[in-house]
Amino acid sequence: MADIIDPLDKFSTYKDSQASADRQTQLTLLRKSATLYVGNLSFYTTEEQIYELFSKCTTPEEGGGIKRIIMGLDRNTRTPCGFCFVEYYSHAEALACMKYISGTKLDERIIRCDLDSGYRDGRQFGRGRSGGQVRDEHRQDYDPGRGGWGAQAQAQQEQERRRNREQVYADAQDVPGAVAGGGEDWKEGVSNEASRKRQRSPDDEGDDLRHERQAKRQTEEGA
Amino acid sequence: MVPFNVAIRRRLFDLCDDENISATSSLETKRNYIRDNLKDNYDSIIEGLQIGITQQPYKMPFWATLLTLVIGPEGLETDVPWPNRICSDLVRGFQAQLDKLRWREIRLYLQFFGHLAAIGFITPESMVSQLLSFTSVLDEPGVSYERASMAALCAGEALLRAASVLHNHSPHKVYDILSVLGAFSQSLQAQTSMSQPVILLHTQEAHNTNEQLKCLLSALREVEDDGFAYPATLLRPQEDFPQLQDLEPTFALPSILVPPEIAHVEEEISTSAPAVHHRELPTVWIRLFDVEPSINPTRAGGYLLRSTYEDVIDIYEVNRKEAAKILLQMDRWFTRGTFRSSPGATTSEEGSTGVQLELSVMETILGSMMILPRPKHKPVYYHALITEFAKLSASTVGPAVGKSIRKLYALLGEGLDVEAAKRFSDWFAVHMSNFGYQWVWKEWTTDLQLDPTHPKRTFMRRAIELEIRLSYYDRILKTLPDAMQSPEAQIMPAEIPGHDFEYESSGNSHHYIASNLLKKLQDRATLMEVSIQVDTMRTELTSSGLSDSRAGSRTRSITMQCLLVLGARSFSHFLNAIERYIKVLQNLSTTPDAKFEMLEIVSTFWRRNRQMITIIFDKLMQYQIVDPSDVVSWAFEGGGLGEKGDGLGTFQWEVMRLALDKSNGRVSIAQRRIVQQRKIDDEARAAKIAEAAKNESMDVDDIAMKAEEEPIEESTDLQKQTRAHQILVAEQKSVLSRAVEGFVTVINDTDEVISETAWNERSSWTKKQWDAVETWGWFRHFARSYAPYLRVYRESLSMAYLSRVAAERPAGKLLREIWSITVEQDS
Repeated sequence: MADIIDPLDKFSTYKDSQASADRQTQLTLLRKSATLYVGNLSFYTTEEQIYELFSKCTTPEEGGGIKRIIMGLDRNTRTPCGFCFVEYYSHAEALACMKYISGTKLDERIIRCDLDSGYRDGRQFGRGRSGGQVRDEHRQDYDPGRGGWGAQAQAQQEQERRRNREQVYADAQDVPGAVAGGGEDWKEGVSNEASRKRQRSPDDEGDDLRHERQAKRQTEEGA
Repeated sequence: MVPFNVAIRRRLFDLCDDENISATSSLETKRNYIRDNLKDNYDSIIEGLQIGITQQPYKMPFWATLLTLVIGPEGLETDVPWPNRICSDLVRGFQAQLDKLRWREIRLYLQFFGHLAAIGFITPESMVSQLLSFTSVLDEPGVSYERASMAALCAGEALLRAASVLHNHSPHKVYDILSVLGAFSQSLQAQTSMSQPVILLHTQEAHNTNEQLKCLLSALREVEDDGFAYPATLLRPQEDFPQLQDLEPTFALPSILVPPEIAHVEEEISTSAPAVHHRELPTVWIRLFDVEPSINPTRAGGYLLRSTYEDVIDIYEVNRKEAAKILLQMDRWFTRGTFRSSPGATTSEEGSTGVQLELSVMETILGSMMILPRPKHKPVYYHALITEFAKLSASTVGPAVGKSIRKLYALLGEGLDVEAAKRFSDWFAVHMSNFGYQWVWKEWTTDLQLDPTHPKRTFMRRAIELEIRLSYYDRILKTLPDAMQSPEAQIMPAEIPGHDFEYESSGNSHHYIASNLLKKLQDRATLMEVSIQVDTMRTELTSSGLSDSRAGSRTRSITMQCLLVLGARSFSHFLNAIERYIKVLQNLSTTPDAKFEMLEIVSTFWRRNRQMITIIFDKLMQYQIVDPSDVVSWAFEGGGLGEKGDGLGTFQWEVMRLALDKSNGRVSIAQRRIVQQRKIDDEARAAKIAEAAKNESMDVDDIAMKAEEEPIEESTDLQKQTRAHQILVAEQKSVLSRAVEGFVTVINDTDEVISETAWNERSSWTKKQWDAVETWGWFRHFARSYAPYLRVYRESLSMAYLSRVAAERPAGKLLREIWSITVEQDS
């Protein structure tokens, strides 16, 4: 295919410039990676908005799904600074985003997705001198979704959202331990075995949980 | 650096692309380019042609003409003419695709051969026997739908192009092909009713839809009626070259056998390989527009356009921007007069009839997106493709998008399948989010008169809900006209999305203990501290006079809600809260009743934000706090949403699908793990044998023979994987059972809704009827989507649950009809 056109899920030039791994290791990681770097977000976009769009690339029937979302934060103010990581359970899901989501709009901004070698503690913080992303320090335009003029200015628009959003991550801990895992694959013996025995299958007769439950609810509501 | 051979072949791909150069002169340029490279770069030229044929099918007449034009450089002798020699190598490429059963490539090669037969290069005899090899697949005993339909398309699409010469040469064989295809298409009637995007419960009859094979057949019949003439929409670049007139066919295609389907080879499943979905039901396209000005795929010209669009959409899935560009220029690759001139262009007599390009592309993309039970690619691909298409030419595509939306909307409540309607609202919201949420809602204001459960109303509510998820409440509110903003309109949710914490108010009798716990959680108390506090809470509740079970429920409710408050700030906060106190949650949900209560607590807490319900349910399953079967129960019992037992709406279906997929996904991971473990074990065993052979200086084969005599002991890892698989399969059965049971229970009471008489009185329908019809829709979708899984347990499921609805009642009849066609594959 690459002969006639470039596939959109070809890994692009974005690199974690602080990663010490050499290029080859980097490539090996990317070939298996289920993590995306998502850029050009509005500072006010929520994880749930991100979840809504990015869940369209999941393949739950193959054991996939969104594992976790890590919001990029300003190192100093602990407020979102316009990027995030979306981690899936499978590599194919991350590639699908590069084909179908990168270059489309989220929260009315064109976002950019790149395959990422994987989240490590500390990477959720901006690397700019002011605490945010480096690109916002050099920006010349007025961008209401990213704090107005580059670095310092106050956004006049979206004040309401701004107030709501800026408090969300005020409790963000310093790493390690600040970022949840999102849940691993199924393991035996995690949930109670007794409950598993109560699972019904068509071979069981006359043991109707639904009716039991309804009856119970009625009694309790009546009580 | 581009490899040399790649650089050589690449220069073929702009064949006829430049609009300022005539096709004839572009063909001549490429012919000369090939001539100059035949000596040194023969293989690269072959590769280039192979890629062109299979990846630029819209240029097929040009690829065929180019091949027949090829001449060799002076002084380079060849025993057979160059076109024949090259074609032999292209046939080898075809054979390679055939061996791998890559149907799209096979079909495109056959189109190419069809053109070559029409030009007079390939002998009609060999062409027709080629096609007969494909139609003979249809007679194989027990042939799968997928294989048969692919073979039928291969034969039929090639015949469309070569009918004229083939009929002249061997009319009987052509009629044979037509009759085999006809019989196959006839046999699909019942299955078609299961994958029609527009369907009524009381009849299998189709409206507003086109089944692909039926279209192809009807296109072929038109060609037949037309004396087997070459279709008028297809270009004939060969006519500009005198040397290609009245050719004597000199190339005979070798006879072939379509290889049998590759059996499910376990070794081929790697842990990262995507699952293969085999099509079991006919491909049916939704029809949005009357024949003019879009495509009528039942006509030869329309079918040719439609299938070319479809191939472009499929091939260029890796780059939607390129796909959009090619689609927007599709009119270049068909004869003048096929398309009407684009709006704004100087309209001549000739330009006012024919296909309107943008409309026909929109209809094709949406048609592909709505293929049931699942489209070829994820729906989000089609969303993104439409976005690119609209961005390329906003002024011409915009109106086509609007018209498509109106046509789809008009089908709501008139038989549009529930899953098709769901995909419509999903696309609508994503599309609007890419174009400033500009939709003329005003034009649907009159529909506010309809019953609130009418599919048009449900669509509006869902579209708005999805828009809010992608944006935010106030932003979306502003896009609606006044009449739709008010709560009475029931379009916007009555309240801003959010949560309700039952114990928040100091007036609540459990406020005090709840806020104590919440404080602890907010202060990041350790798991131990929280466990103790939860235990104490339960003891206190019991000693205050509550029964054990009610104290347990109350403890569950308070603890879970406090954790939900902690996690309410964001998805990550929720994950953090769960992970920190997962042990507490597991202890609180040890029985099916407790798990169900957990789901009810979550759904009540997040009643005003259904997205959060799905997110949290998904993670509660992931963390194994609840099981997928609990979630299926919840979907039917509608816990906490005040819609108990009324049937299955789109949201409840979504939740249920989440559970079904979670369960199937776990089984699929477990299967892959077993395969991988076997491989590891085999390798370890082989290494051991090799080691033993080395030590005892024996022959490896002797040791291996000795080893074979001993029973192979499974490694502990493999035993563990196998046990995990067994548990998950049992859970999968339980999930499927629960789903079937739930459907049967709701459906049992719908006799009076599914008749034709009832349907004709739908203007007076209210919640009861619309809910029943929607549940039937989801049952059909459930059966056709999960048929491969359900098939494994078809007998026990049918005995335990289907038997609950008497077979002679209308509901029993319909239930069995859907079940037998999809799950049992009887028709």
